[in-house]
Order: sequence, then C-alpha cells, then structure tokens
Amino acid sequence: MQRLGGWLYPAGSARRTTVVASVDDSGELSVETPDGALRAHWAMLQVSDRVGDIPRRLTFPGGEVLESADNDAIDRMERRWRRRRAGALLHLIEQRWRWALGAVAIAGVIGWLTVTQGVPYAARRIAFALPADTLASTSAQTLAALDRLVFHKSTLPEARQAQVAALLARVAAAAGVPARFRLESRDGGRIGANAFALPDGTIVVTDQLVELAENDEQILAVLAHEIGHVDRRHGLQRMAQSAALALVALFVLGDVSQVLGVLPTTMIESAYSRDFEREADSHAIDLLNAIGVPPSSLARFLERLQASHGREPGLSWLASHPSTPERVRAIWNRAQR
Amino acid sequence: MNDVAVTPAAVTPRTLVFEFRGQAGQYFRIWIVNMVLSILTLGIYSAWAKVRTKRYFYGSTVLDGASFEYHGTPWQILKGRLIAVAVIAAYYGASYVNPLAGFVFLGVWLVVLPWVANLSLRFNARVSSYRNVRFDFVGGYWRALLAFLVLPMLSPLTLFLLAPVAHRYLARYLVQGYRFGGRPFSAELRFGRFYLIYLQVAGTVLLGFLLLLGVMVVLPMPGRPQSTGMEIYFAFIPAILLYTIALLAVPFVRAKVRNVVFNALVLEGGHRFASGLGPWRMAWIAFSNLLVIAVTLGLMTPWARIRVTRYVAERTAVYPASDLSEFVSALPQGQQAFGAELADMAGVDIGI
Repeated sequence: MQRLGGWLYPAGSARRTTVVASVDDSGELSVETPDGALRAHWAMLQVSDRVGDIPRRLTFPGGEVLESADNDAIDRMERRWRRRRAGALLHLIEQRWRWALGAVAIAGVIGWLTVTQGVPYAARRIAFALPADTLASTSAQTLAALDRLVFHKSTLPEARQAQVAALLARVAAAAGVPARFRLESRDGGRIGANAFALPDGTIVVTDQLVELAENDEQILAVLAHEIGHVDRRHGLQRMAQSAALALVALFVLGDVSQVLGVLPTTMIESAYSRDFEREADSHAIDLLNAIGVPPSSLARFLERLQASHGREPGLSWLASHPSTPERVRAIWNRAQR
Repeated sequence: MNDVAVTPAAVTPRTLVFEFRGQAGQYFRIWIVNMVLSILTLGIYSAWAKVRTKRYFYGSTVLDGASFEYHGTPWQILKGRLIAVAVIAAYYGASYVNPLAGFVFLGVWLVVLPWVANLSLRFNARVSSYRNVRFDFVGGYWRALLAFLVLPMLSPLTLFLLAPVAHRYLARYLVQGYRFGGRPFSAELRFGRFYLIYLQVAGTVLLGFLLLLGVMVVLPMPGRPQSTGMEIYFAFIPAILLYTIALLAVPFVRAKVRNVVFNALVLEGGHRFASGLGPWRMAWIAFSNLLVIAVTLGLMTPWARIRVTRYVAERTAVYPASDLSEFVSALPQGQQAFGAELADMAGVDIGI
C-alpha cells in the first residue's frame, strides 16, 4: 500500500480538494473525492514526466487530475507499474552533478573543436568553393574607403612605381598567376609603412614602405607575403569565419552576443588573423626560395618595420599579427629546413 | 494562526504572492544536458529541451500552493520548428537566387506577421494552465497589425513621440486578448502613465549621457595632446549610447510598464493583480546578468534566468475575489506550434 498526497481536480475545473490517494499492491489507485470514490489502475493514468522537483500531473481516464509533488513515490509507482520510459532516464541524468559536469566537459570540447577546427575548416572550404572574383566589388569599395580616410596620392616617382610593379610581376610569375596581381601605390598617411592585399589581387604598397626597404629583395619579400594572403584567400576566409563565429556566439550566448560577446569573438578572430599571417609568411618563404631571394630578407624587413613603428603594442591576444620576434624566429626556422 | 473565526462561506480578502521555487543548480543540470543532447542530435532534441525547460519554469512558479503547468509536447514543437525552418530556408533560398524574390518574401512576411504573432500567442496561452484551467488568447488580424507593425514603425517617424501610444496599444491588445478559463482580462490603461514612463526614461538617459560626456571631456589623455586623443573617444559615443539604452533603459521601461499594466489588470469576476518591480533593480539585474553570462562564456545563463524569474515572481501578486473554484475550461485539442516556433525563430519579440 502506497499513499500519495495532493490535490484532486474534476475534469477541466479549478475546484480542488486536498486528497490522499492510495495505491494497493495490484496497482489499483483509489481516492475519495466530494463527487464519490475514484478508482483506476496505475497503468491507466497519464503521468507527466519528472523535471526537477516540480509537481506531477496524474490524469485519470475520465479527465480528473491529481496534482502531487510526491515525486519519489510517483517514480516508484512508475517503475513498478509501467515500463521505464525515456523521461525517467532523462531525469536520472539531470539529477546528477557528475553527469552535468561531464556534459560541461563535452560542451567544452565541442566548443573548442568548433572554434579551433570547425570554423577555420568551414571557412576554408567556403572560401575556396566560391568563385575567385566574389569579392571584386568589395575590394574596390575597400580601396575607395581607405583612399578617402587614410591614404593620399602617391608621391613616389613614376619610374620607382614601375620598378615595384615589375617586382610584383616577378613574384607573381613564381606564384604561377602573373595576371591576377595589380600594384597600387599610395602615400600611407598616418599608418606609414605598410602593405595590404585585397581579395581581388590588388596589392597596395605605401610609399613609406618602399622608402623603408633597404633593397628590392625586401620589397619582394613583402610582396610575396601579400600574395600569400590573396593566394590562400584570407579575405574571403575571414568573412566566412566572422559569419560562422557570429552564429556560434548566438548559440552559446544568446542575446548577450550582441553586446558583450564582442570581446571573445574579437579575441578568436585575432587568433585566426595571426594564423593567416603565419601562413602568408611561410607562403612567402616558398615564393622567395623559388625566385632565388634569401628568406632572411623578410625577417630583416619585419625588424626594420617594427623599429619604424616603435614598440610592439600590448595585448598580444588581441593583436592581428604575431609578434615580430616570433615571426622572425619562424622564418629562420623554416628557411633552415 | 487561529482560523476559528473565519467562516468558510465568507470570502476573506487575500493577497496571494507568486513564488518561484526553481533552483539555479537544478536548472543548470537540466540546461547543460539539454544543450549537449541538442548538439549531439543536431538540434532535434532542442524540441524536448524546450518542453523540459518550459515545464521546469512553469512548474516552479507557484501561486496559492498550486503550480502553473506547460502542456506543449516535444512533437508539437518539433513539427512547428521543422515548418518554421522550411519557411526561413525558403526565404534565404529565394533571396540567394534572386534578391527581388527576397524582397517579395519580406513583403509577404510583413503581411502574415500579425497572423503569425496571434498564432504564437494563442499556442503559448493554450498550452499553459493553472489549477487545471487553461489560458487562451483571442486576437484579431487588424488590431495585431496595428499593435505589432504599424504603431511600432510609426513611432520612430514621430521621433518616438508616439512610442508611449504604441506601447499602450500593444499592452491593451495583449491584455484584452488573454483568457483564463474562457474569461477575459481587462485593464484601464491611461495614456498619461505611459508618457510619464517614457519621459522619465528619456530624462534619465539624457542626464546619464551628459554626465558621461562631461567625464570624457574632463578626462585628460595620458601622454598625448588632448586634441588627438578625443576623436577616439568620440567614435565610441554612439555605441555607448546604444548600449546604455539597450542594457538599462529597456528593462527599466519594461518594469515600469509591467507595473502599470498589472496594477490595472482585472480578470472577469473581480480578480485583481499587483506588480511592484523596482525599475532600477530590474535594470541592474539585466545588466549584471549579461556581464556574468559573458564572463562565464554562457555557463551562468541558468543562474541568470532563475534570478530574474524569481525576482519578477516575488514582486507579483493576485487579489482573488473568490477561491477561483468557479473556473472551468474545455480541453483544447490539436494545437499547432508552427506560429509560435516561426515567431521565435524570426526573432519576433512578443510581450509588453
């Protein structure tokens, strides 16, 4: 004999009576109500699944409802008079911290794999599946925006610009796609010595960079690095990564992602960006080797570049590029192989 | 307590305060299991997850010893979700093939939005019950169109002078639509109260913004001449303003509006309600919840949800005119979750 306290409601009515139901050893439940005795075998009852400790709802075939928070007694009856159902198993899992912590670990691993492997992989596949000229119009817009905001007209002599263009043609030929790349010279304004690769193959080199280089080999090294960005479609990959990350952030953080999710996503995107730089560096070394320029030119120029820009900015985990010493070391290591 | 003096027949005026019995630790385990199973089943389990979550929150909300109940079933939710996903996929497919088709789709979406919103409200109401009696929602297409689309779209055009009107209309639409045991709710909502709320908020936001601006101007930039440092700060002003409004003003307004609506709310039969949310407290809870969730990479989401639900429940009360025994409801059959799921996925925010 098992007793079960709760409230009994007639079908569809809010009129409630405090009752104590009893279940006998054959599984027959009986309860006294103001409308007379109510009887039903346990297996005929519709019993709501257990979630936490919320009250259960036992619906009789006639529509009467017994609301009871006596969860453990109900679970015992369920086990005894009904075959086990998935709902009970779920509660079993949800009840234990061990399982919950296991779930945290699984979620962590899935999250980690998604961010370190899944997103970059998907972005790479997407970037290479799209036609190469997908971002042609975006590239033109980006250059126009940079022209308006940062750059000034190049003051480099025409002849020197032509020489740099010839250097670009030389590396591009080694890369196997001579026609895709096009040089744009600009006065870098406040950003000084720098070079940019746009997805459509436009490579912008600032006058300051050309002047900073000690020799043409160093310019070749920079151009090879930028060609690496275009060749590996880093621009397209970056856009795909941002979109994928936004989706992930939305899933994990919900609405929070719009406001404070900015920092974590920025950190992750910076890490992706540093990977792109490393990839472009190693790509550059292969190209330089192919045209007979010592890869040390790239290392040497990076050091000059850093000296001209002053100290390394702080916050390495927010930096878009790996630190110069790290890059120089990596270049030497690769060059020696 | 000595209740000998209380005659059973006489209805004593009672105040029933809502109680929330959910616990962060317990909900955390439900939440994380839901999350992992949803990922491992590629989203299919999310329908079960939703039902378990809803049941936990409804079942933990207690009034006069009885809890609320959620009756939606995972299969209903899953079916609704699949249809909703198909609709959204069709939209993206159409706009990928032809941007014009995307626009046409968007136009159709605006036309059907009030209908979808009504379906959503109706589904969610009909699968909710208290003391064995179901809720319901009875809407109308044109009033929903006005409440969800026309007025909210007009209010920016009037520099938000119309925003309180729009908010009041939405609140009134929702109040008048809900039923409990077939009986309607009503509320006498005055324009003045809504204008007052918006005026207060606009004033507070403006004051805070001016204060912030003052701090920025006074604050010297370390190691640099002032003129070059300032532009960097000014670039952030629109973002800061936006975040302040989103994080603080929205919960602030919602708390105040909820108080106004609940304090005027009457369920047929003379049952009255009360809500005493502290607007600053709500803003603080919303803000600190966001911060905690972001810092813990989402792991504290369950705690944050429990926290806000508990606060709202404990600040809400009912003054029943009777012991509610007279309420009855017919069991609604064959509910379709499609509208509710579509509204959820399309990010339609329904509520006051």
